[in-house]
Amino acid sequence: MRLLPPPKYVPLLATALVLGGLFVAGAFRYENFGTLGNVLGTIRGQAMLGVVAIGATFVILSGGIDLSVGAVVALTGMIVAAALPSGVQVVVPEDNPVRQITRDQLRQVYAGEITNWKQLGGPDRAIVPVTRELASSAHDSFMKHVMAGRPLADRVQYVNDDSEVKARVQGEAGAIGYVDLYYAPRGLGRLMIDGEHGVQVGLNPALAIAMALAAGLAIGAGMGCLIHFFELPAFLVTLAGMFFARGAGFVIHTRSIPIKHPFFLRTVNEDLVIPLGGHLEIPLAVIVLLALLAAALVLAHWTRFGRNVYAIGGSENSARLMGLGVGRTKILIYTLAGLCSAIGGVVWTFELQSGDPLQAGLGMELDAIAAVVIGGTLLSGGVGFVAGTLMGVLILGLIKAIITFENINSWWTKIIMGMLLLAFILLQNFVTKASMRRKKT
Amino acid sequence: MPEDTGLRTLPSPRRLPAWAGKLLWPVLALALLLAFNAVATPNFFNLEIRDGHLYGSLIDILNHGAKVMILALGMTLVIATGGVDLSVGAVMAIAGALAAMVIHVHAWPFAAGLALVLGVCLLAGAWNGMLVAVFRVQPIVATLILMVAGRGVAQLLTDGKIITFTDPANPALIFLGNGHLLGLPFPVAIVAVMLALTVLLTRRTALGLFIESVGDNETASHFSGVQARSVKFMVYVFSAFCAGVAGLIAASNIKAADSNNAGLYLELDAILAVVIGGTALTGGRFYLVGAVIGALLIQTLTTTIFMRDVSAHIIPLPKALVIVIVCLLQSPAFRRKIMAPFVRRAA
Repeated sequence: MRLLPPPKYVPLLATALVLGGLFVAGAFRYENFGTLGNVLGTIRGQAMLGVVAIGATFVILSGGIDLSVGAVVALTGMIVAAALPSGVQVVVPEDNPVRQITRDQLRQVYAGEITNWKQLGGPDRAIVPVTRELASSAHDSFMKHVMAGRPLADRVQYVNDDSEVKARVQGEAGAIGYVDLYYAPRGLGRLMIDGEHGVQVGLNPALAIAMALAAGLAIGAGMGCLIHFFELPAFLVTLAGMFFARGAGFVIHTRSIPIKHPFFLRTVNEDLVIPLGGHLEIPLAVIVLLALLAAALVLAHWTRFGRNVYAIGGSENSARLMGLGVGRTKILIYTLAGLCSAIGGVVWTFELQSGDPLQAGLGMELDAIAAVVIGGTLLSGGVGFVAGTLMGVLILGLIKAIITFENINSWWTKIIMGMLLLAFILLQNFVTKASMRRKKT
Repeated sequence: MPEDTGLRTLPSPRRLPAWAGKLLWPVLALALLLAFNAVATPNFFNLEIRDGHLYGSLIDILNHGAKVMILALGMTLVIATGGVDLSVGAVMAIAGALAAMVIHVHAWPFAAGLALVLGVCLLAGAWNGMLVAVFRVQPIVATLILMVAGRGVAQLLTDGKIITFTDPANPALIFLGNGHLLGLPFPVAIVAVMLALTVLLTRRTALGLFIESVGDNETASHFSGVQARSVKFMVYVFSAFCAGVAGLIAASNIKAADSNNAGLYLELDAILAVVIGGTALTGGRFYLVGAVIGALLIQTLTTTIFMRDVSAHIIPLPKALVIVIVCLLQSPAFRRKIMAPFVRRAA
């Protein structure tokens, strides 16, 4: 008679028990803990880690390790933020009849060559050009895309932000100024430049996101190739990938880039959500996580690729002798992990409306490994479940939530996570030994 | 001309011992980098004496590289047994936090505080060693636990605050990272002593041989009478000890215990230094001097970038390229597939 389920399900069962136990304990102890709102909030808070950990699950199932995930999240978030359109809109007082000029005319105005609105088809009125302060992003963008290397005329007036530009332009009949592309110029007239709403460069959101995903794919594939073709240890190659991606993020920009595009501010938060009635809704980040989870479940359990992953994790040599495409599968695994990290980076831009080369994905590689291990996947590879990883991610989220509810210091998260890791690893060891003993007898 | 007479495949007498061959690449890379600086960075090789102490970029490299050099000593032995120690950064944070608490806040005598800090580090190492040697947990995972939890413990010790000890009430603690000995910064002296002791202990006793044999083949070592478990246990204890010393220097350098950032990512630099030094991640032969040169190479690269007025944040990028190039040069598969036309066939 067997009291225990098959050994490979024991860690998964333990994970489910811990998850359920934490939730029930929290729900009994704190008001509002068991509410749908809190549950959704917890899942939303862990969505980014979840996306990344799903990719890490495949890597660990195959017996490898990926330390680059956090840095790739940062890099791809930076790519999205930097690729979106940036620039300026040119504004004049509302009663100014001029509504259209060319970029050349705009340059001549600020270079001091055109000084009267008459020259632009308007009333006989001196032009008073206004510019944003030095080193502001609007100023940099204006100098680069409009002035093209020419200096501003001496009589151009400097002001310190967009609302000061607005005040100055409204108070001066002949004024012309420029504000950030995403500033709402209410109470001002906006000039069309060469038939466009301002001077801007950049890609639309879909292309920007596609570029970020392609970068993640490329980094993953590159690491996979180094690991497979040159038989380098995954540990070192993905360590190099981590350094590479962090450095590359800083090459794009050394500080965080805010995202002001309406797609990220409005569409993502208002239109691309599933409303649940009341104030509740399933945010896009969670939808992405669930969709990716479904795809990963199919990939792991119902495709040849998935079976190859398990086979390589069980024994790479046996897999090779069986004639499985070990090399191709390994490269695909790291490519998939790179893609998942890139999706994580895109989710970061959805959730935080910025790209951040320093803070994004900081320490996420270890959180992801911890979530995978707590989710019941053996670090030696071959045994584990994608669904378990989601539970691991949620356990980490519940621990964070409980620590917030208890109002104790956040470093306890790290200590508790360490203890949980230890418990699960010892459990895995015990289960592995038990199943080996059963095989022998 | 006949294709292959077979004669050339006979082993040719080696002129150099194995360690000299392994040191060739890192020393060459370091020399190249220094040569680049000699041409491109003005005043790079200038040394001046102020108050009887030497100052200059070269001294800075030695001084700032001391932490990774010390970590690399312990990491070399761990990697030689086929393991890896990810917890050194967290142990550094614990050491700094504990030192600041007992010596600065609770005003213990320096010697007592030092003994306590190093004792706790030995305990941390024993914890890692127990998990690896007794419970047979994979080293990456076993040390991952302390890496995650250790930083939490360090924050717990300092109550999440950064503890500064700038006042001269702790001359000994401040001397550790800022003092001078014979004109050189004191951390450099610590590195020299620890390197000499480690080399003596591993090369003048059978200990080094035991470590290499465990890394090569644990089962065979066990059957030849080598206490594989004790050897593994000891290298983790030693690694944590090195991390403790490095943590004290790190805290002393900035005269503060910063549990969040002390030693952050230094485990990766230490591993990189060991690999550049010629020790394979799979274990076996180890090269202590090579690891120290690897650490120097990393620090020289960092200093070079700093002196060229490039944003310090970009430093990971060239580091990544160095890792990949070094790994490729050492990879047998790479030599076979790409370098074959350029490399003389080995005997």
